[in-house]
Amino acid sequence: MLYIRLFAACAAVLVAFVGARYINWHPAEDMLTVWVYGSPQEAQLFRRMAEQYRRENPDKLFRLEVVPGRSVVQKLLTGMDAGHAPDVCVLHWRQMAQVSSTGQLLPLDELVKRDGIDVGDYYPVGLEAYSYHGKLYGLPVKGSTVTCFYNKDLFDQYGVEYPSPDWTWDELLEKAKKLTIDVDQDGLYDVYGCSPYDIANYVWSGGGKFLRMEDGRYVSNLDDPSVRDAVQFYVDLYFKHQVSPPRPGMRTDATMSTFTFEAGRIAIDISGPWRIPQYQYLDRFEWDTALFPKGPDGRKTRYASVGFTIWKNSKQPELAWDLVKHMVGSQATAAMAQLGSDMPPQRSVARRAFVRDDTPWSEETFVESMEYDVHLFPQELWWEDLYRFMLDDLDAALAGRESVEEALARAHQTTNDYLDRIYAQGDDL
Amino acid sequence: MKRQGRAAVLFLLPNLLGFVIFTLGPVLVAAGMSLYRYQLATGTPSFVGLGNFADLLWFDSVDGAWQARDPYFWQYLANTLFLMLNIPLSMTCALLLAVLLNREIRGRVVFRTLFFIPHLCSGIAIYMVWTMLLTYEPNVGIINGFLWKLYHIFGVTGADAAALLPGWLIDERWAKPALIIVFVWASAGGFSMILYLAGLQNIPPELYEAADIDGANGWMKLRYITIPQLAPTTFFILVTSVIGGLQGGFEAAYIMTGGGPGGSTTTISYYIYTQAYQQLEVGYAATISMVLFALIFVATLINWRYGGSRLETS
Amino acid sequence: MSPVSAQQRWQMGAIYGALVLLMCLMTVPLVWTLLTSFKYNVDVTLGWIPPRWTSDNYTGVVEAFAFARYYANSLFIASTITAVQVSTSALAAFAFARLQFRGRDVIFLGYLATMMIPSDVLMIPQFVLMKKIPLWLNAFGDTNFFSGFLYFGSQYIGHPVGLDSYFALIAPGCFSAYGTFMLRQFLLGVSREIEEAAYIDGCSTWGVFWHVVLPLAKPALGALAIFTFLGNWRSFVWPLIMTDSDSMMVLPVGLAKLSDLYNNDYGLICAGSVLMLIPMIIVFVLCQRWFISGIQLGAVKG
Repeated sequence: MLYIRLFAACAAVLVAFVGARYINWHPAEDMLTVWVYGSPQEAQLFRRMAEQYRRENPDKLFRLEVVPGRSVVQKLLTGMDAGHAPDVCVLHWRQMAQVSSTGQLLPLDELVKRDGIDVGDYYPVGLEAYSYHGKLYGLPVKGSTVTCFYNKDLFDQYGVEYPSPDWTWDELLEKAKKLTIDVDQDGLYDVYGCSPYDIANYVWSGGGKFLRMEDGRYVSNLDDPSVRDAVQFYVDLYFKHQVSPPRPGMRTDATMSTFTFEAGRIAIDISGPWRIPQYQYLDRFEWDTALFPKGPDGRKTRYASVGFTIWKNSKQPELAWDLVKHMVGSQATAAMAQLGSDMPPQRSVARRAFVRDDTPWSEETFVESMEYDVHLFPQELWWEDLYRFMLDDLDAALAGRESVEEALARAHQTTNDYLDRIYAQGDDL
Repeated sequence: MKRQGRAAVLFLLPNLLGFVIFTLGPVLVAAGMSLYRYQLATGTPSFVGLGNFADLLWFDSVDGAWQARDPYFWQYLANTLFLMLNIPLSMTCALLLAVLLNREIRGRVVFRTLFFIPHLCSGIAIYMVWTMLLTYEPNVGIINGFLWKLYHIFGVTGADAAALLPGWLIDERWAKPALIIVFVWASAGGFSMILYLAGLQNIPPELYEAADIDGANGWMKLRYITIPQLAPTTFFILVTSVIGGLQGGFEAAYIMTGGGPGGSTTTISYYIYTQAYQQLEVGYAATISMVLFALIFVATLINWRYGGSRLETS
Repeated sequence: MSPVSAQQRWQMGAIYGALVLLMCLMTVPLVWTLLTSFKYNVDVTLGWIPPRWTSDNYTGVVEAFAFARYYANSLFIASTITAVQVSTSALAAFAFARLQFRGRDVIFLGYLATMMIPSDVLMIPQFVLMKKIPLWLNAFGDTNFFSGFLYFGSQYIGHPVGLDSYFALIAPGCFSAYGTFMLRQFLLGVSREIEEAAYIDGCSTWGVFWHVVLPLAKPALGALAIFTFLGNWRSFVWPLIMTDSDSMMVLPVGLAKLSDLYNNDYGLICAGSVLMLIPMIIVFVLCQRWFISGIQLGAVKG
């Protein structure tokens, strides 16, 4: 036993000694840090673009790190609070209000003007998504709208006509009813007509909005009859017509469902092109794309985008800006579009890079969709929080325990109470 | 017994040193933060004294009715406490499993390993699988599918049977029980079972032999020997489970229910997280943390009074 | 030895039946994870058996990220923390459970109390602390060593201390209130007879700790080692906040990169989980044989 211990001790010393010889020390240097995130393919692409920049500018020192997207805001804000954050960071547009409201991001308006970036070429909503209270804090690298996928085989099998380019909510409901099917006649639905996505598209297309401005501040707009009609339509899909599979609540973006488009259990899937990298592997049925159906107030849909931002306290803002220009340039956004998940934010690149001839489905739909009324949620720090409470109140209607009027009245109250509290805190909103 | 202060210092020093630097210091800073309006990464914090605590806990009288200044806190606290009902259930299951697996049976190692597996799996996998098992539609969700067949055997069919199916994750009344089932499943074979197994090894066999001679049956041995002898272990599991329970529920809510329906599965820990990193109100988040801390502390003190001190004298 | 009665045989059968049933229940998610890791993401919800088998998820995980490095980091960090934490906790637990000194219960309660504070908010002062440590050390030693970069060969191995260093990943984990509490509780349940005999025989406090208490505490030390190892193998938030370079990341942080913001590739996540799980199962099978073996009962009898 003693010998074993002696031997172990000697081995440890030897390893430490030999190991220490290989350890080198370098002084700290001012190196630019870039954080990116995304699917593995996107991460690879960001790396490739960064390497290209490095080849073209061998004297510039920077490092690119891939970080987990879900936790990036927590990591970023903790770092900013302590004065230790990356110079350049990728952010999703729904993370923007949180980060830019701290005042820690570098406004880009001057730089954009100075370097003659063609802002007219960008879809306006893309720049709006990266603006906060009138200032531009980032440039998008990709972005798209909520549209539709439909299962052609199911449509063919049950003799339902494909969605036309100007189809409406009524047609959506009618098709969904025909495609909600109990295949084996056991009293249970095996296929549901549609998966309607988030409620926002319906509220907007119905002619309503969640909040309105009154005397220079936001108040709840949930008492608007057009909002009630839209919510009623949405809830009826689940409860009255039962053409959509039951789910835990309105805010379940990330939760898992067993009734999926992929499984052939949903005929019309309302979602965005970010599903394509996965749907392209579907081999059990043919599918195609369609625009979001028109509501009483026309076709309105929602934008989602990812972009680059710069930290205000970066020691090398010029290098950071130069790098960002490279990462969101037309070459990079075109390469990004080739992955098939999202469209380039620049009009000039969008169609050329995103629409492909070698796929049986149409990408044209997504490009076209950008020309309709594309909305964003209010770019405010408190929005995500408030939206959560709003949707929690509406859950009662979704489950059929309350009428839409009752649930909306409660959500209206909640929203106004919430906003009153926010304004009472006296923040510069 | 003589005082052993010097020896104690030497024994405690390594742990205490690291503990003071890496934990106690930051804890005190966090306690200080609860007295400030402190917005993460935004400007300088301003001192508000106990203002945060008032905003969190105070009730105002509005038109003769008492209204909480922060009603969400109370709702989420109630959710959290309700979900903690899984603790006694998990502990009972863990004890039973440990007693079963402590016998001389073939394949003990295999059983113990497999029971421990939920603890080795990532939470994501566990919650995703359970989401599928708990799906409402009986042709997809296995549990409701079983109930559906059962109803048919008893002649209940169609709409009547559908009305009797629990809406596990989609009904406010069933969402919490559903999560409790998942929690019990996930924790019964885990750390608690291992701890009980380790504790069982230390019960002197003489006690059981003596009981055999007195003609005690299995239940009496469990009741009068095993459970009292395991009391320190039980105390430990209870205290750490209560601490963990009051701080838990984030991941399950995130993957299975999104905190719904109607906010019925949102817990305090989720609230702290959103306040700190979504609303950037770190001072307020620190306040919630301190209140939660006080709650746990009181719970532990009560445990200590009625469980801990009795153990030490015995 | 009495002959096995029919009733005993019946009991044994019932126990086995129950165990096998429970076992099936417990392994469900593991089986699902394993099967899903061989599926295309679009096939995930299509029943249990993959309609098409693919190994793309595994090659995807290994190609996209520096998986080997995350593995090595996790292994190194978790085992170092386990070794040190079990030692410091055992020492402290012995003091709390067996030694008499002033303020014992108060200090112990202070220990317990820190476990009760949710960690989300603690991150902020802890981050600042880690940022400041190298600056303080540099000023103290009048050097710039502590903010420099270390390399092993050409591999980056972080700063000597502070953010993005092995120090930050390991040091705070080495001192745990949980471990101290657990071992203390265990020691309270152990009979003092042998210890008292050892004191009467003239043993020092250290001698009692080393020769009597430690061997007795083997099952609890083993359990704590497993918990500590698993806990650190799976820990996410601390390493996430502390590191920002790819070379310093650990497995759970690496895995988190696989799940996109609003769009999860479950096949990929499952493949990553399986790769993360395999060594855990091996460690568990090997260790649990050792720590719940019952050998130590001899100490009480002898």
